[in-house]
Amino acid sequence: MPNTYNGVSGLPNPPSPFPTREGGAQSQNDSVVSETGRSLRALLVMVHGSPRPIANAEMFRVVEAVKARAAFPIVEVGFMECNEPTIPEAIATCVQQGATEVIAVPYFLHTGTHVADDLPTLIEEAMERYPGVAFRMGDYLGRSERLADILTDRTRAVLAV
Amino acid sequence: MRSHADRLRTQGLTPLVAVGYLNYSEPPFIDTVAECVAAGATRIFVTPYFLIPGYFVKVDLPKAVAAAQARFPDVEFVVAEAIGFDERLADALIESANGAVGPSGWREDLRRASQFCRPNPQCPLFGTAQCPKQPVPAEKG
Repeated sequence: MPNTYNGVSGLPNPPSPFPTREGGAQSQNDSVVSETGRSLRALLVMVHGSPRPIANAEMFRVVEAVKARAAFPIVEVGFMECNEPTIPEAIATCVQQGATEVIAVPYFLHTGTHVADDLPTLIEEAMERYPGVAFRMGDYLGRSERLADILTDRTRAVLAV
Repeated sequence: MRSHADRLRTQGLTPLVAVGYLNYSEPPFIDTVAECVAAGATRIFVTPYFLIPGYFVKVDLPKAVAAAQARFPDVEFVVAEAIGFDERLADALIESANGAVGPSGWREDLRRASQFCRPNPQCPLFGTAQCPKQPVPAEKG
């Protein structure tokens, strides 16, 4: 299987209508290297959580799909509320597995206090706790134009009914 | 959300694409429906921008659609499925991770997020210093 890290599942990358943030991880060459000289990137998926755990089932399927792409040696899920592991617990699991860099992505459709403030606060606390680990945050899921393509398909499915 | 609507417009699925909200964001769902009807819509496809078919999709949305149907009895409403599982969500997660940034970029949304909202008592920020519409100074001491 070819490395799907850059060309995700072989799909072309259309130009994004969204403003891009400067200094994305890909354009930088400052990965933290552990004492053994090995850098290990962890993907931390940050999820809101639900009093009905079944509500997370589809998210876990998506995370399994991410794992199947083998883009990150470590993939962990952390919840803000209601469910376990919590985000700090999930970060601890990443570090225990030897992560030198934790890349956190909010599994949220909208931005708001959680995405814009609460989640950064949790990551900043982790930065203090693990000074040897680099932390980055990606855009929340809803910023991806792929969501529009999914909405198109959901609409198309009922268009002909 | 508005960017998604712009992209949907380019895909030509329907002649009209509009965004309406079930919560305290602008414009409310019913206003958007009214706008579509005023523009001549006879069939309205309601596509939930929700990750799962939870309470909002199963309870709140049908109520909102029923209210719209009562107000516009000649319009046909067709409700699509919630987002649920999709391989492209995995693509989106990986792409987001590839563009991840350090701490200086983490709070950009804080000033951007609220530009479309209206003051509403149900909003968690209502009546606090963080409310961008009617900020109340934080109590001292």
